[in-house]
Amino acid sequence: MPGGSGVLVEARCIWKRYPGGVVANKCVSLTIRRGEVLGLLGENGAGKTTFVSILAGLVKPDKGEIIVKGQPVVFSSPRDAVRKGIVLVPQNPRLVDSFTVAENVMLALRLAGKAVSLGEARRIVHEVGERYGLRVDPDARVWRLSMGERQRAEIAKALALGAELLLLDEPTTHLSPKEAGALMKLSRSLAEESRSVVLITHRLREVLGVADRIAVMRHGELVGVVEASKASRELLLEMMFGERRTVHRLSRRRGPGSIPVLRVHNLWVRGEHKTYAVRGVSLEVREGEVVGIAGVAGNGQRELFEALVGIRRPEKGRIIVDDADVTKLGGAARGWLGVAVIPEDRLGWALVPGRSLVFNTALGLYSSPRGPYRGPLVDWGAARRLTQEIVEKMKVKTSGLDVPVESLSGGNMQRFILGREMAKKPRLILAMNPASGLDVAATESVHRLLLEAADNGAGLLVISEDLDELLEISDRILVINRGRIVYESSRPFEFRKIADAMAS
Amino acid sequence: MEGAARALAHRSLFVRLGRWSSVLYGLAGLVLGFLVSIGLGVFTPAGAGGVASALAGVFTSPGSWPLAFPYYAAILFSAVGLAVAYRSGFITIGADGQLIVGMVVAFWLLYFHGMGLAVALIVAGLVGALYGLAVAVLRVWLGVNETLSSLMLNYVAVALVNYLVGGPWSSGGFTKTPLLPSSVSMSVSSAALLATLSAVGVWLLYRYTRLGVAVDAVGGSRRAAETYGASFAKTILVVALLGGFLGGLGGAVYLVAGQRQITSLNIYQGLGYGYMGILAAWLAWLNPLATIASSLFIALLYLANTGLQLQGVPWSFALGFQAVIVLFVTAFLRLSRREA
Repeated sequence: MPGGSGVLVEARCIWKRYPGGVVANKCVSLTIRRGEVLGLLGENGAGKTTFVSILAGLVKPDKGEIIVKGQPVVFSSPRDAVRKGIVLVPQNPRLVDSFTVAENVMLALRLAGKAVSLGEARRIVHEVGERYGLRVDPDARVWRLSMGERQRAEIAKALALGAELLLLDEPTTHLSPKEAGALMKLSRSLAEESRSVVLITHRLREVLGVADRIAVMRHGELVGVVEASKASRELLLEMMFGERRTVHRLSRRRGPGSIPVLRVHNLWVRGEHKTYAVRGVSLEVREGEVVGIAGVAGNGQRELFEALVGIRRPEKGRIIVDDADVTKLGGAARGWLGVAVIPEDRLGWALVPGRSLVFNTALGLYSSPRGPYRGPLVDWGAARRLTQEIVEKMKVKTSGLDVPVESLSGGNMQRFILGREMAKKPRLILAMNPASGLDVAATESVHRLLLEAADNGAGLLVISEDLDELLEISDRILVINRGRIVYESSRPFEFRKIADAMAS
Repeated sequence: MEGAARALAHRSLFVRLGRWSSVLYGLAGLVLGFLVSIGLGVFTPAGAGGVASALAGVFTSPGSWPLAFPYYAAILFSAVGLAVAYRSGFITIGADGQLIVGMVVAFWLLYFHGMGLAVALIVAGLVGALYGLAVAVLRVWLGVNETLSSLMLNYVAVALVNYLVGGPWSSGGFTKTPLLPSSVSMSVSSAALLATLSAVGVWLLYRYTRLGVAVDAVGGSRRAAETYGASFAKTILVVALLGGFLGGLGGAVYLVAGQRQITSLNIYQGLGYGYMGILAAWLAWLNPLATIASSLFIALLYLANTGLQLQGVPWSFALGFQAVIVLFVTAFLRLSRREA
């Protein structure tokens, strides 16, 4: 439509490929109409955030065009996008904590080229608050605000910048259901004054309630755009996840035993900003059993993992490994009990950067009875031998045992980490996103190793954002949503039900 | 084209040198630092020539080194504790205050209560440990920045000394205490030996016990350390206690083998050796064993500078020379690592 008044922004065949080969956007073409609320749905890794970052000027596309109000534009920075009226409200508010809300707005305006005084900024925040029912105190220091309030501040900031298109990235992640509802109402009010809102979300109920049209992305492609009135839950799920063949599972020698190695009772864990990220989670993992926890990122997985691992204290509830209550204890107790930990971040959490493989072996087994220690003394000879064994057994490609651990590639790092954790002959393995960033072959070997450990009697709890991974290796799958376990199932898995539980 | 070829040649030379390249880089930094210091000497009454001959004099005649041993001991006792602390990410600058507190406690026990030397040294160490513990407790339980709190405690120590030498401990109305009785003594060689042995002891602790692993883990990634059982809180507390003990002990040793009395102090300069210990720790690249060499080096520099003061060069220049040399050496060492 040549310069049509209906279309605000048009994206034509946007391509984006990240170094490392991942194609985040494959010829994505989408129009955004004036005065509409457009829902953008998709699994983790579908490419939604990349696409929206391109629209907002944060990321440059490899190919493709962006046309705003009939004029082709090229954004060299978010400032250009803001000048054209496109503002991104990120998933995690990016405000200066020590400033007040008004000061943040003043800063944003100045950076966009519109100098205002603090007094004017305060007035703007008041006005925006009045007009849209956005309760936020312009003189409040950001560090004191709750997540919901911070988000309102971010939106006030966007509106102060004169946004005609607001891109909201997973805005309800940290909001209570009431606050989420208020946000949806706000989106509709904005649409009524001819502004446009793109709502990235994985929560079908929300988007069905507020959107005019819904776009679905999968694996970097735009699968389709439907009118909300014609959309149903089933249709959207099918568009999001596609036709799934029955996922074959990797073979196991033995099945789960009957003795539980991990019992979690009614766990409540606070996240950042004093809200509860884990709300009354109870679960059990038996010997030789692989339990997978599925969910969209940001639903409490990290806090749950940190509590299980022992670096975050739960407010309520119990964590019991074998028969020992470790709720109030740390990593040392777990190590002693034979718990192995495979965290999400390889360099920085599983491994200490700047130090050698031998050192990282020594640290990994710091609390394990099988560690290279004799009382308070370190046996470096034993540590070296152990490292050598790990490197050989796992076929880690490294130029030596004393090289800094970051000289290894991602896949080799993960092999080393797995080998190190297995050297503990663990009773329980806690893993989070164990195959993240790995190619198909490496992923396969990680999975085989995990299952081997389970065959040897270890209980395995795998928290993952990759549903396929869990479908392949788990005996049972639990779905976590908003900090609660909302669904549980053993084999055979009903894919639709799992996806539904994740997307509610 | 030329530049690329030269760069390639440089690289291959570097590769051939291997591990010794760091030493060469360090020496290059040292030479450059010396030259710059000598150059700066033109601004002093001694002139560049005076600075050059003072530096050369001290470094080339080992017979004069015992004069520097009291400084060496004070600096090393500070540096070795700091090296371990900094490795764990605990950036305290409280060594000077611990030295002072150790001096005060030792003087009190030795002069007023006639205690034995060994007892005085140990108690001085324990009090120093408590002084260090305070900083750690504030950090671990209240998140108070240790650099700031340790600096404040340094000021408190100086204030304490100035009160004592100006009042109850004053000798003859001057702002200094009387001298220790001659029955209480420690030779400078013994002081140097004690400091060196302590440094070796710390190195053994770091290298062969769990503490070393915990220190490096907590300093490298607190999350990794806590996940696998190396407690942040426990590690910081131990490191602070250890450094504090060494600092208190160092102050006592310095009193008995060196100064023999306590004089008033400038609040910003303090005793000084604790701050020099920071330089020595970084110069040693936080290697506890290497602090022996770096502390001796800094002590000798200081000796040369005390000589220069007699020629009219102000005390601040002396510190300036030390700083310039350390700056160049560490910069060059850093460069050598980046190449690798």
